[in-house]
Amino acid sequence: MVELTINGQKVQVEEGTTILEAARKVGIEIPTLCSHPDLKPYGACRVCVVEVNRKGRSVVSTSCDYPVEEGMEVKTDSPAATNTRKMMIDLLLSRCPNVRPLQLLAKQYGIEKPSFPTDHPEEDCILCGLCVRACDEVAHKNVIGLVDRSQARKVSTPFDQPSPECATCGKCIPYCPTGAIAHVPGIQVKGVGGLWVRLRQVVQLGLLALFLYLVWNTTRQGVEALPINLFSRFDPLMAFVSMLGSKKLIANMIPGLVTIVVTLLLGRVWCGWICPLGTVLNLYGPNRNPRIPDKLRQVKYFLLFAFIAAALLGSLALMWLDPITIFVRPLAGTIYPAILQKQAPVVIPQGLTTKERAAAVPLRPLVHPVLVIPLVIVLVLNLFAKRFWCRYLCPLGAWVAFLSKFSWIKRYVDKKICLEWGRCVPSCPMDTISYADLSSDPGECLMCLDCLGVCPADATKFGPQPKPGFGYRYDPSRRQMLASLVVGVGGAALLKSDMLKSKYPYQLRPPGAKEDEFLSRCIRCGQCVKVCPNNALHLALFEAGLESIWSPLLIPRIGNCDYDCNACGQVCPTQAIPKLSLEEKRKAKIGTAVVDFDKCIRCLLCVQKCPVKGALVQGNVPGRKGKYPIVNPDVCIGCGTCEFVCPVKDEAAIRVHAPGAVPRT
Amino acid sequence: MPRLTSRAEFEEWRQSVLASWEPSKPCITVCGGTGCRALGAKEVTAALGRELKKQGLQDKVDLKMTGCHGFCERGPLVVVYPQQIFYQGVTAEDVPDIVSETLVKGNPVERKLYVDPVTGQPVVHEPDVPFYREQKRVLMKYNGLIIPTKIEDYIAIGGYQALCKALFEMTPEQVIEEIKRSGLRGRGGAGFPTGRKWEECRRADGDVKYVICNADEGDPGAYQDRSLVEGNPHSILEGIIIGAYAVGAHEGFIYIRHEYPLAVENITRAIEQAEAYGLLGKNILGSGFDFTFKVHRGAGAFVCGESSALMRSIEGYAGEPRAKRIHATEKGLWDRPTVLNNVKTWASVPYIINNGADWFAQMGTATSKGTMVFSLVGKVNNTGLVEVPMGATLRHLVFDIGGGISSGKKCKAVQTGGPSGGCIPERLLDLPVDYEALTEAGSIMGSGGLIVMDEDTCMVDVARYFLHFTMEESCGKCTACREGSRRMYEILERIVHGKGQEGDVERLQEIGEAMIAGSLCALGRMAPNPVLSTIRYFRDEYEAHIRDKRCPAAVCKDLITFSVIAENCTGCGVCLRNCPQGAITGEKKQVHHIDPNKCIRCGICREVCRFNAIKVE
Ligand SMILES: Cc1cc2nc3c(=O)[nH]c(=O)nc-3n(C[C@H](O)[C@H](O)[C@H](O)COP(=O)(O)O)c2cc1C
Repeated sequence: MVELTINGQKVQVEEGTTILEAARKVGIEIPTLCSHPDLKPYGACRVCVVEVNRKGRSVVSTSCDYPVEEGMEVKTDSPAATNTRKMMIDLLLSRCPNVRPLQLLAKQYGIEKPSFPTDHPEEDCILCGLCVRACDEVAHKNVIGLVDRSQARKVSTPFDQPSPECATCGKCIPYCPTGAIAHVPGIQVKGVGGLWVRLRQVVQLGLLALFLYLVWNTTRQGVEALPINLFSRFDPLMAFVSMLGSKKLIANMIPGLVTIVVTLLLGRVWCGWICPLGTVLNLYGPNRNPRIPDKLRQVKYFLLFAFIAAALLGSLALMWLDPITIFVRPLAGTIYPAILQKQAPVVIPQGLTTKERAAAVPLRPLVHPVLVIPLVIVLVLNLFAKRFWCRYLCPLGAWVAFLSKFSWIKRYVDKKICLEWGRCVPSCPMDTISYADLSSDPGECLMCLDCLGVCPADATKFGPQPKPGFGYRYDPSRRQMLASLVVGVGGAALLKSDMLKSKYPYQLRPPGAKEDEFLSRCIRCGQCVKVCPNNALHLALFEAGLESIWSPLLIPRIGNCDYDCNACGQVCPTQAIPKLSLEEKRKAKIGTAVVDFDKCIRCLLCVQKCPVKGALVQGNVPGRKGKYPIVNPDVCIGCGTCEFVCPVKDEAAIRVHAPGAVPRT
Repeated sequence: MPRLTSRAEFEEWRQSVLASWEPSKPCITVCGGTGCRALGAKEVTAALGRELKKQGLQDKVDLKMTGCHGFCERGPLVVVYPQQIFYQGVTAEDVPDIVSETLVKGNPVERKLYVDPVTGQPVVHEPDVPFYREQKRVLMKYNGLIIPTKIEDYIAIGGYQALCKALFEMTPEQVIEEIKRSGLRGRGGAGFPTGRKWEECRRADGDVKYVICNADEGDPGAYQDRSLVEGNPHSILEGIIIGAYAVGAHEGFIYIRHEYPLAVENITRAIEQAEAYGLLGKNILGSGFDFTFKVHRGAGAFVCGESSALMRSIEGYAGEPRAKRIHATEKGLWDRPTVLNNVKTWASVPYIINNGADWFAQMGTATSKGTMVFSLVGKVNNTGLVEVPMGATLRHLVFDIGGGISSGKKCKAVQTGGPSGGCIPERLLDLPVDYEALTEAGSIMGSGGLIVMDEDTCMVDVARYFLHFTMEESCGKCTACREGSRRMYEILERIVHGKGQEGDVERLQEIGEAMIAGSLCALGRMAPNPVLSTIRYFRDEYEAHIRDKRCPAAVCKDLITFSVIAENCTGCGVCLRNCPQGAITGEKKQVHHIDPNKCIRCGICREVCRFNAIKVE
């Protein structure tokens, strides 16, 4: 044991201990940039200088490589030591003015700005040699070394050539105090999170592919195995809002509840890992855009609360803003039909040109370009900031964001092992990491792990953080919540009011749907439209009333409801269209056919084609000569086959009327 | 020649060598130092050989190309023995006269004699030349006498007798005691007592120990170590073998720059010869003492002269210094006890053993004993290598030996110790040169460089020059030296370009002090010396640059203007014709004019003007 004095305090340590270690032992902190407990002392940064008095002779010396001696007196902040240390820090800061740990250290010594001009402000290597020593002493590879001398000195591999060993080792990386290791020629920095990011990307792209595959492939045959509605069913907002709207537990939406539970565990993984729209939006756009005010992030919460309020009133009209529906609708209603149309044009009923048929059914083209608009807007906004939609607008995002504030696992940074302050900041696709303290809003964090991927050390952590994450810049205030509730309630009330209700007599819904309940459950995803084999289902715009926007209508003139099909009910995630067996569906009443005898040309094609036994028969009409089709309203289910096949130009001579609608006479 | 296996055999051999060595036999020596070689010494030697043959004298006269004689200013040098007639500036054309006049008739060739600038009289004999007369040559004594690559020459002048004495008459402890008593201190600069260093190493634990000779000598303008290795390699080798015997080392190295090919060649030859004669290797002269010695060539980095960097370099790593918490004498090369000494330190050893510690200690001052070899360069008449006892004054060196200032102007300062040293102003020239006095004056002994400066020298520019050297030569390992020297250099650059700011001097001192306190090795600790010493003695010059944007010595180009003094100008047009920029205009026989916007301040006009009509401000 050796006894020495440090700052007047007697310290006993083992022989061979350095002054630095001895001081740390008694809690006296000496700053240093080039020493590490794993590695041999090197004495390059000269920041750890102290004043050492031995046998009456005082010298300023580094403490990291100075073994203690009996009776030595050490002063860690004598004027001589402090002045020297301050100059060393100033010199290093002038070399690397933008290295955060240096800035912080400099601040401690009252250095606000480097004293000397810098011509390479991007320089971040302080030549501490930690990486080189780690390569030697920890990795036993000796791949990197300090090359050249004086001002040309740098860390590099031999001849700056990439080394295959470097790519696999990475042991030096956590030792680098500034992150400069990433720029060493020949070194390939792979943060510990690199694999995680890869995994996420694989999952994301895989799910996106699955999503597109399902949209493409879900037909009447495919529905049972992997239906298109898989994603919708896991949609936590859909689950929540549709159940709220219908005030019922919807069995089909139980996966959505699973997502909610997962969110409470892991945070916004839905957005970061699963959401197909999110995946697309993650592919491009700038991570940072300082021109967009952060406050804008509250908009999504505003929308969410409006949603909830409306749902409470039984309206799901706003569900067309759900990201899954935004994505599915154009795929199902525009792109898919367009492709089909190109490959094999839909068989047109005899006697009708496409144009004529379209004219016969106002506002209803086969391909619905309007459905693309929301998606296009979302995609364009993404050019201004990556995940613009997810950050500022997405109500689903707001919902999981809200839940994530309570999630068990959250992101945080262990600042002690942070190597390069702020490297993670620009990596965040949500731009939610604060440079000041490296914290992030758990509501904004998508658990995408991109920050982990760039973190050169293990400093970025994702772990249990039970404390709810409130108190961030863009948390919604109580007032705003209230305001949005009012808007939601008011809006829903307005939509529901008779004023905007449609009086359109031919407003047919998919089989089994009940108009009133339907709108409080339909989430406007358009998947029924996609699966309908006869192209009978189409999304409404305004013709069926504002509240009906982008809800499905059955338009027999374009396509009749196939008697042998119950696909729409199978894919409807919220069971706005009930999941009926074929038997049940054959009995489900869509409407009732009504014949316009003035138009009827008595071809009786309708009678011939009617799939429902006894619904349409030939018979006589009082006051008219010859056989006319006669509808039996009790048997007719309103499948519209008659209307579809009717060869009469323009409006058919036989039309299906919605239940309760008054036939025109 | 078979290996010598006993002292008796050595003695026998020595006698046979002496028998064939006739001091009275005419001998003509040509300086073969690098300086004289550059000036044509090889051609002179060849011409002499031919001429001797032509006159049939080849057997009657010895012709030797020796090591450096020291008076490099006047090379190529030729000395004719036994009279010691001294010729300077000899060319091949002079050879027939020298042979026919001096060797045949014994008369000096007047035109090649040295003329004493003080008396105006020619000096015939080498010892009477003031440059040599005023010196006390010990280490350099035989440089001009022997063929460096001929071991017999060294034997003839008493070589390897000290080794015999040490091996057969003295214990290692006695050798160390003798060295300690002599007061020999390291000639590499720091002046550590050599005897103590050896003693520490001798006492250190371990069977494997090393001795190293530091012949890196990287200071610009210093070449005394190199000249010794080139001119008398056996004296160094002998000193090292004695040292190895004293400390108990069986292996040794000489670390020498690859850029010094002649030195490398000569020491390599010396080692081969010594091995052949059994003076190196197993069981030296049958004494039972083994010692092998190798040459390690350095790649030429100033910092590799620093002891710990040098050892790293020998170990095969990049030459970077380490903290010396434990002396190299305990843990040096490959962590074994090691003695590292400078060339001159080692070369001193045989003389001390031969002549005794008292003889050595009677030379020099109270704390610094023996002689020191300086390289005297700069604005001095007689540049060259000079050896004087410690404690000689700078004035003696500059004026009595150096012959005064070459430009005829006043001496302004003397820089000692090379780029790590400081500038000592004219008023302190009476300072007796020893380790302590120089340190006291803000400089160092260093390797013995002496750069003489006259009134035309800008001290700020000098400081900038040296700092540039140390900045470039910094290994870059520690912040203090790498970044500190760079920042000091930047500030000095600014000042000499007229962009100095108030507070720059203080800033320089601040960085300098932090470098002294915070640097890992002596390179960084001493790098601020030129700046701090010039600030200490010539602060007004710094202030003139910074405040008045004026360079008092008219050196810093951005701060000076050239103009024509109308009264003196004859309109001869020489300046006009020589100006590379066409900046001078004027009719014949009319006063000329310099356009300051075109002038690049090269100073050619001033040099060519015969009427002193160009003025610099
Ligand atoms: C930057 C630097 C360069 C040095 N260069 C030399 C050199 O060229 N030759 C030399 O003998 N010593 C040189 N030294 C001194 C050596 O470190 C060491 O002190 C010396 O070789 C020891 O030998 P001595 O005791 O005989 O002087 C240098 C020191 C420093 C700091």
